Amino acid sequence: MTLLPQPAWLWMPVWLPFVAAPVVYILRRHELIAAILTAAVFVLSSYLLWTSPPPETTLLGRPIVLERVPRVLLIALGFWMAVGALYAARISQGWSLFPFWPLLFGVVAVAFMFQDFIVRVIVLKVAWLGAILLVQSGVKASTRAATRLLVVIVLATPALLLAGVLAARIEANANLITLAPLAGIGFGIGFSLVLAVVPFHAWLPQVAEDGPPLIAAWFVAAFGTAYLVLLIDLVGRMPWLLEEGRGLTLLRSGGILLIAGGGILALVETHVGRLWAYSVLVDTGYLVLGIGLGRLIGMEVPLMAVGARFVALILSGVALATIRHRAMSLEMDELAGSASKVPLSYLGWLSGGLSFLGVPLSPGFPGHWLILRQLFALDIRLAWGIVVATLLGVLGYVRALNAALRTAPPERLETIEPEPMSVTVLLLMLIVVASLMGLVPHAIMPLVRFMAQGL
Amino acid sequence: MVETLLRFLFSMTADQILIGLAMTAAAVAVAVDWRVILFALGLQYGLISALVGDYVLPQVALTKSLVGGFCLLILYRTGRHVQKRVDTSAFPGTWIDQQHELLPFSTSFRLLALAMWTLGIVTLFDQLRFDFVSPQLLLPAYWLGGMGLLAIMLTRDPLKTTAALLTFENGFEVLFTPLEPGLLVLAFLGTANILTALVGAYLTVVANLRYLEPFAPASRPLEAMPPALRSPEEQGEELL
Repeated sequence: MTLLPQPAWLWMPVWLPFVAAPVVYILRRHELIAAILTAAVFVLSSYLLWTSPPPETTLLGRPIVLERVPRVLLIALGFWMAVGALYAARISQGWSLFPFWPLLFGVVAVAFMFQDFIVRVIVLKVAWLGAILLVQSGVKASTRAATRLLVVIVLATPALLLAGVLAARIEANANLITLAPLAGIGFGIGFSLVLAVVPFHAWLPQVAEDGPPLIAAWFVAAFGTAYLVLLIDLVGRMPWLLEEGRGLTLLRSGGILLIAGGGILALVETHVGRLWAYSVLVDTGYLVLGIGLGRLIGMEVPLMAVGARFVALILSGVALATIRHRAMSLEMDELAGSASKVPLSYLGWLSGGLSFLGVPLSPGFPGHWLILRQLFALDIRLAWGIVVATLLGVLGYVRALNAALRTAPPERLETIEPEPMSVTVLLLMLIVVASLMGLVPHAIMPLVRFMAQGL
Repeated sequence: MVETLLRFLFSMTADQILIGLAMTAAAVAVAVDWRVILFALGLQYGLISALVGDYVLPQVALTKSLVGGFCLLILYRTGRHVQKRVDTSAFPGTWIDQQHELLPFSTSFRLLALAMWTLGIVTLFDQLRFDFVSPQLLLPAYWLGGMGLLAIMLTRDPLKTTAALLTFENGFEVLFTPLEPGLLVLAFLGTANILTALVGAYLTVVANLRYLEPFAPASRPLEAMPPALRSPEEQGEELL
């Protein structure tokens, strides 16, 4: 008896990462080989997901279908992780990255194969729990980030699952619509925790401080995006959640809290990793607002913003990891002079970070601008408030750059080595891609429309 | 012996189960010694199986105890390992002292917090009830969830936090299992619980590295450690 229907090769994108993980584990000490193998697995899985996605079927009565949005998300994540794995071969982010990443990619793929919201949420929790081990590999002795991640996911999942059960009952019986606000509150609590909505945001800056920077960026790319896709899917399937479930109010207030909180906290932050995390919060805020405004501006806009976020995350993740590796710290006080030694890393970090804030010519600008334009039409004072909060975030980056440009004693500068050649090439490529996305944003529109048609 | 225990559990009345759950969850929230906490957690799993046994198939109810057994095994072995090393360590103080350094909550403070929390849970039970959930499940669910939250707030020790999280998860599953008794959901929930225990155990070991390794690194990024302490070969070893 087989759990999955034949032929097995059709399911290769799902089982290949699981099969590859033990092989990569054996090879983990040979970082270059492990990295190339891991990257090859991601590229092959992504290619197969694009060319021949797994067929529709059922497992123990639960439908298994890979829809368009999760499919594109997985493909993008696969390429993201392939680039990340190659980078980690040169600047280590913990050897556990190589065997764990394929496993976790496989688990996330399994989560999105299921159409059932309940199963998706539980399988994503399994993936999140596994990812905690990668975050912990950055620092020994301090378990703050990892413990917070553990607490967040254990508290968030029940809220999402109970809300999911309630929503399914309301879908089956329209007379239960009076329970919609309760479902909305459940979803609100659950998504607030996993998307780090202020005041439940503390885990993300902590991960950015304690975890390896590339892992922190991957965490946001994989789980932040997965839960956003889950939210987009939910709003698309159950539009009554927006009105009767108070979803509109929750989404808009969540988005505003994220942007305002992220901007203000970014301004006063003194750790570059945490500053990065706060700018990610601002970006998440725009996305959540975009989903809330989905009826007015269409789901293409938040989906486009998700695409820009992926590019900004890999760029800023690689750049931050390089800065930390070379300067041996991300505290602003200890970064004096480092910008002159690793200029390309700072350019990448700025390019990615400012994209989260939606600065013009960055990949994040088009999506942010469309959301903001709609908000100006709805509530001009609120829109200006959001612009001000975003500018505070930009000021935070200016502060950090100023700290990195300060002169440092020659003996300190001698300890900071420039970027390795391979990292320089990778950073240059990513900066070019990010610039192209900022300059020619309509280039990704066919992909965005392809996804939006699936909603 | 297992059969006798199961027969005893399934013969308990709803009130007896409720009192048992109240005591075990409160013990997880206020106790300091990890052995007491794990013992209470173990009893809790048995009582939950007995409680949900009236609403789902006995086999489904028993899987809760089975999963709980795995979780306890993982946590107990970790706790014992760390405790042994703490007892023989050159570092001054005990494991409990270390926790008190982090959050210096006295027993009286914990008991006061428990009393206030109890009032909150009772009020919540009075105010928020649902037609589709039996009150006999709702009260223990609120209690376990509430005590789990209280325990999370009162500790920073990863082992105790894990026990608190599993208590919170138990409260949720008391509600959720009768609503979604599907095999697939049950399997994934069990996997998630065991993984929670595994991650908690791993974090417990990491948090107590100063007792377990003679030269445990400081709480700083790997790159910030003096280069003299690590050769390129060691770099891979030091990370997870």
